[in-house]
Amino acid sequence: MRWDSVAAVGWPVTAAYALAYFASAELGWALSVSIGNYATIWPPSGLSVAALLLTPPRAWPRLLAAGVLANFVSDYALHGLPAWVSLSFCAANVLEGTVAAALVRRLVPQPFTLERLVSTIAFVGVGGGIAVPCGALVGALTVTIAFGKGFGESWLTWWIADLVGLLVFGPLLLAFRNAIGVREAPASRRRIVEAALFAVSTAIATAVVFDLLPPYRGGPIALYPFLLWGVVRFGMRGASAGLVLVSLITVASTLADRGPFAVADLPPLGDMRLAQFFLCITALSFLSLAAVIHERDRAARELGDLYHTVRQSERRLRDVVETMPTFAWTARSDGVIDFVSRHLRTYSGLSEEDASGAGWPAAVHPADIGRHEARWRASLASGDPFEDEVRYRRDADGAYRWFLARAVPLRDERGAIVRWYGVSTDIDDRRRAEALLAGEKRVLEMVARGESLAQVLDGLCRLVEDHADDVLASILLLDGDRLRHGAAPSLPRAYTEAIDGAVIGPRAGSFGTAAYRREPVIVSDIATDPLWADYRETALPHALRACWSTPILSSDGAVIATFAMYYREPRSPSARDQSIIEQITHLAGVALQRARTEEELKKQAALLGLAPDAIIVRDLESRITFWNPGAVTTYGWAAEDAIGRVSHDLLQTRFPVSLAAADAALQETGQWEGELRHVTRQGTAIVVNTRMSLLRDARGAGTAILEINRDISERMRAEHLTRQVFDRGPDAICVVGRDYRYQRVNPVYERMQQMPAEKIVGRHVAEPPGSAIFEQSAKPHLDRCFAGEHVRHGEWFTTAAGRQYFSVSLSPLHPESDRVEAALVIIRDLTDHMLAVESLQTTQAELARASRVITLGELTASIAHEVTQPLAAIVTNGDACLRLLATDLPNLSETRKAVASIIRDARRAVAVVARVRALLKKSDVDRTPLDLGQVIRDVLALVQSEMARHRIVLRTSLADDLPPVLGDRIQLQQVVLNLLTNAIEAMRDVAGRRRGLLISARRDDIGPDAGVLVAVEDAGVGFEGASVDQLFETLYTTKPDGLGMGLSISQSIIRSHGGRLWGTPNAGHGATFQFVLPAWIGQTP
Amino acid sequence: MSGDDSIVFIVDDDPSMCEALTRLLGTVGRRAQAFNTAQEFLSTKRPDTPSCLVLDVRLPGLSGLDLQRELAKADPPIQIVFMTAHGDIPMTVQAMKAGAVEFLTKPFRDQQLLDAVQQAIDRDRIARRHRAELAELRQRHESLTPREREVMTLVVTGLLNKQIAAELRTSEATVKAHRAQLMHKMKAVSVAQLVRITERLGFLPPGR
Repeated sequence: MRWDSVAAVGWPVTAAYALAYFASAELGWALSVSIGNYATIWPPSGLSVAALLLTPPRAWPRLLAAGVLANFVSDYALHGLPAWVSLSFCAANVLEGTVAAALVRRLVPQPFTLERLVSTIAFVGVGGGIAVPCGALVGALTVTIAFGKGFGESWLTWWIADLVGLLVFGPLLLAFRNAIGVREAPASRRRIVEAALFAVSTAIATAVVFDLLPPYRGGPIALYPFLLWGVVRFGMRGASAGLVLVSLITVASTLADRGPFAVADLPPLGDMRLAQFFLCITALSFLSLAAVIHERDRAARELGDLYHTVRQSERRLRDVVETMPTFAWTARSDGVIDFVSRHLRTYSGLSEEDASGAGWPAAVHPADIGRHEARWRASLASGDPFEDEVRYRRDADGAYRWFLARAVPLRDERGAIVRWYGVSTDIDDRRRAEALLAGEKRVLEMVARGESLAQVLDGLCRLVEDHADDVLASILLLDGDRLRHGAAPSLPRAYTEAIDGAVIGPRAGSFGTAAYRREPVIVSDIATDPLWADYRETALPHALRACWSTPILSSDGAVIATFAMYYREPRSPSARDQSIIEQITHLAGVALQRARTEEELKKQAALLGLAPDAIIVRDLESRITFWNPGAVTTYGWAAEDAIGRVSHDLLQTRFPVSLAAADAALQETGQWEGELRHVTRQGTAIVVNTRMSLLRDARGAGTAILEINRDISERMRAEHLTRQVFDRGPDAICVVGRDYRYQRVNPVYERMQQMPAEKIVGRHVAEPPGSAIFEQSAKPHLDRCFAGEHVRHGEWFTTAAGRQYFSVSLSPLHPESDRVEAALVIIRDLTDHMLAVESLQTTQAELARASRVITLGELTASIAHEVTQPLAAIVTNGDACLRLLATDLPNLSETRKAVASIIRDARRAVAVVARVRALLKKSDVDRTPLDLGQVIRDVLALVQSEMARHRIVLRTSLADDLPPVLGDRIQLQQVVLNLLTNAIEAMRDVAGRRRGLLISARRDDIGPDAGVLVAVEDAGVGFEGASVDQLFETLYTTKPDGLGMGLSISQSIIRSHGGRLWGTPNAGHGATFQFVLPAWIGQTP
Repeated sequence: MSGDDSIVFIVDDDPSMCEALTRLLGTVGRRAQAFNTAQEFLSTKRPDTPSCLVLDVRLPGLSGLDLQRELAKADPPIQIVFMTAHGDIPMTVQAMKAGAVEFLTKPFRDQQLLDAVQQAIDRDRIARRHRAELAELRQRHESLTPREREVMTLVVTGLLNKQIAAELRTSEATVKAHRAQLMHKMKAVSVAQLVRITERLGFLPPGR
């Protein structure tokens, strides 16, 4: 029954308590001294304090009330005490109970139990030492007042009585209500018998001591063993029960004047006091003893429990250790092994004695013993955790396996090592796997390094041979439907050559069949297996008895090679063999695939190297990471110089839009294309067409930028040039399509047509000039051009600007195909040129004619011919006439004809002469004001080719301020021509010096008037001994073919113009001929 | 002087001159044909009669001297009489060296011309006769058999029949027969004549 909650203390409990209180109060009354009503022992004190200690404070009011009620009933109703006295007594008891319970509650932790020594002392001390005196105070006061007894004595009596009641009855209740809420196990029969025996015997003993035996003062002492029995065997319960029995009998006996205490020589109360004293001390002692024993018991029990728990744990641990599949061991602090787990014992065959002694090295691989021991010693010395990989011998087959042995020390609270605890783990499989992995890694490294396929395959075969015992590995590569030798480091050469080129098929040995079926083929015995029917004789002589083959597949599942593993005995693969084979086959697939991919990549990389465009890869900070040979050519920087540099700095990039804009576009769309300006290493600025792409990683974030640049400077220059030519050239250019419509026109053409380009483009060519002209002139040329011919022609056209000469050229254009799509028409205005040519031709003709007429030699020849002809005819006709008349019958008709011919011819002769004279006379009428400079220039134009032919170096010095001269242009041109011709002739045979000819014209003054002086200076043969006068003589000539007319005629022309002509020899070589003419001062002739 | 079939060709660029000359030649009964350019003359077929050419040096296109050169290459050659309005000595010398009959300067006396023409025609006649004779001789030679030619070749070297027979490995009688035949064919009466014929034909025997 739990009494620690208020609810538990219900009305039944309270009522029971009230009854108990009443009963105990009656008992107290019964045991009180009849004289003066002194209680000798007041049980309710103990009861109430015990009850209050067992219940929560909230329940105290009802309990106290119940007690008060019981007490009142007892005191007032039954024993006739005045009401107020009994109430006062109640108050005293209440006070006592409350104070005791409250204080003890404070001092001692709940739940309250006497089994602790502290609690007992508190109970006794506080209850008996504080609470009871307080209550006694009130009671004594009441007694003093009510009955007039002495306060001190009353107080003492009350105190002692309550104290005894407290000490005896309190524990009783407490002890039997000790187990709070715990159902006690039913006591055994023996125990019940013993308890009964104890109670009875104690009671009897007490009775004997106090009642039956003669009073012996030491008598009560004899009760102690019984109480001891109770305490020792039954704890607090025994103690309290015993005490109650003893107390009751003692008090009753003493009251009845029996027993050791009832001695006559003591005052009547004295013996009671003695008894009470005896009881108090006894109670105190045995309660304390009981508490101590309880505590000891508990400690022992706890220790026992602990011990039990520890033993159980240890057992469990041992079980765990023994059962777990690790090898565990422990060692003492000096390193001697004292425990080896069962698995380890089984494995190594060692017993614990062997292990602890010097026997453990027998289980360790000889090569590892030294190191292992050294490490162990080191750990023992330093206290650091121990670790070592070591081979243990397996007792079952004597094989060694790798283990990882580790041990950690256990330290006590001082830090000293108490024990070592170690575990060894089997890492043999792991080590093998590591070795295999290392082998695989090596092979992969070979692949990554780009080693040759043969080496990689050889490495793979050796890997298999290292990890599987007794195997001879080989790899065959599939080529079409034949298997070619790949690698076979351990197989005999003769065999591998024999099977090289084998065709795969359903029965082509293990290797061929595996490739055919695309699955592993195991042949345990070559001698008997049908798959080897064709190859048996090849394999058996080389002592190959078993062959396992697996196909090696590419990532898309195609067979690229087969593995073939041979054994010298018939055998089938174990699971371990198969797993190794699988692993290595997979690796082989990867390696082979990789090797193929490598080759492909190399080819592609070579293409990159061949590409003429510059291919650059740069990271997001524009640092160059890749620079192909095309870039080296384009920019002049070698790869090692370029890589790592920021591309925009290296190439001095100029973007058409800002760099930020380009980058933004690139980030957004992943592409950017445009034209940039770059500067090469040599400092040349080039224009490149760039295409940039953003390279992204698997998550889509940009990682690098790929740039492909093409130098288009040449093209741009060409385009620019073409544009310049088209737009700025002096000629009119247009493009006409096959439909005879304009497609493009240039500015000069616009000006020519006097229309803007927009109006011209699209129009039919026929429109402006009129369709007739188009049909006649433009269309035929265009058609010829469209047929592929380059057409060129020049014509006079009548245009808005007047009569113009145009040279037109038509070139066929094939922009995309072989077919002529359009004609490029270029029109050059040659009007001025043609006019100049015409004028020159006219001048030349006139001059030629003039010269022919004026030069006397020519004249003579022409006269001679033209006149002689008719004269000769006249003579002959005359002779004919005479002959005709000399006959007898003259032929008169013929004669008349002859005479008519004579007259005709004579007239002809006269006409010739007249014409010549007329020509000679022509000169007088045509005199105009002339610019002599222009006259000279015109003549120079005529003799240019002559001078070039004779390698004459011409210098002119024609002044700008020449005054006009009145004269006959033709005649004066003739004079200049004569002088020039003479000069050229004079220098014709000059060698060794410059054939320099200087013609000059400047202002000069003759007499009072202004004039023009013209001089022709040559570096020729000079006068050659002749005098000036001789030169001017008619017919004088130094020229071998000359007739000597030139100079004299020239002189007469100049004289007739009012001037003078003379010649002087030069200081050096040659001569200078000059003439001076008067300036025209505005008079008309 | 009259009545023969000879013809005189005239080439002169002056039509008056051509007319006058034709008239003059007509007075002595000679036929004449006139051309204005050398080219015209060259392209006209000449009849096969004695003829000569009266040629002006100064002609448009092909000059007279050039024509002379051309005609020298041609066959049969023609006799040329040059005339000119003005002449110089080198031209005259060149023309005469090249085989011209005469070089006359205009105006010339009628008799000069007529004499030159006569001379030219006569020359032409002689030349023709010689050519005809030669042709005849050639024909005769052609008619010989090869054997006869061989014999003739040896005969004109002065060998006796006996020697000839030895040379040709045949009998003297055969040689004699051949000899008679060839003499007949060649219409030669003596060895000396045969030799002359051979010379004329150009088959001069190698000296022995």
